[in-house]
Amino acid sequence: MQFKKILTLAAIAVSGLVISSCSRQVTRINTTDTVDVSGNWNNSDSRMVAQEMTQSVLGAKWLSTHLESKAGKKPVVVVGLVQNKSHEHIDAETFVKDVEQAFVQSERVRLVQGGKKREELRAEKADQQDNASVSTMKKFGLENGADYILQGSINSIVDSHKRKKVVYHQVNLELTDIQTNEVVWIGDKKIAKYVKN
Amino acid sequence: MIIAGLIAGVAFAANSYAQQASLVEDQNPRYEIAKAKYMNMSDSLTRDQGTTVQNTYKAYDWYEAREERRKLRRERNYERSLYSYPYYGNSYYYPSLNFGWGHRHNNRWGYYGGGFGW
Repeated sequence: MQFKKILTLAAIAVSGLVISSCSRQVTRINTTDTVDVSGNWNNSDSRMVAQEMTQSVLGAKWLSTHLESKAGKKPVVVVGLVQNKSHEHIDAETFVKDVEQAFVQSERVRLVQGGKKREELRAEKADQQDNASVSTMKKFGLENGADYILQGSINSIVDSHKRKKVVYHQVNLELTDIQTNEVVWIGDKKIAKYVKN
Repeated sequence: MIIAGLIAGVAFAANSYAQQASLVEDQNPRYEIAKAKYMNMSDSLTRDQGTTVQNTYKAYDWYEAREERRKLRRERNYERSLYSYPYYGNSYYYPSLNFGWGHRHNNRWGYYGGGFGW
């Protein structure tokens, strides 16, 4: 009788262990913590790129040069294309948005919309021509023209043999004067990882 | 005829003068050609602004390549075991007397050769 009881308890304990080991566990972590799981591009890489680029672009000489030559008038920037030529799918918006946010928050650089968002704005303006009251209707032809365009590229090199791998990422952002095509700033962030399987 | 020619000449000269006058300092006088070219395609060229163009490549990874090879081999062997007829080395095979017909294997009746099988 005693043995049967022990056996039942053991069976319950083992089944509990099996069930708990199969269930998924999710733990919330801080977005600033670095957790490398596979060695692929992750949130820490994106954050490091954003920090580096933000510091660099706002501290570079192009800004003071522009302010001097344009009598203190703030530069207007539009964000262009970022080309991902690496071996992984990377969306640059995760770090470009941080740079944009820094432009707006610092109040030293003005930002204008480009691409599909600009199309949407123009479509809204067009809609207002028919539907909004005359006093609130926004006019065409009064947009801020950008002085500079922010473009970028992501490149990578992978060196692997057997279970060892070195992954190198290089992210470049550059600011170009739209009037003259002169590149006024280039920012870069290089990330290298050693992965052992 | 002469008067018409004079008027055309004056109009052409006035037009060229107006174009010269609209140029800013050091501006290329042929800028209108480039402007006309890009005015028609600016919409399509700026549509993807603010996005990431994915031109990724497949990097060779020795470890991943080995895993892929293994996976393919396993799949191939599984497919073979499903559709191939039993043979002597196969543990599923057992000799039996039949008249040209094999035994039932994987829910199919196998046929191997004519005559009697053992």
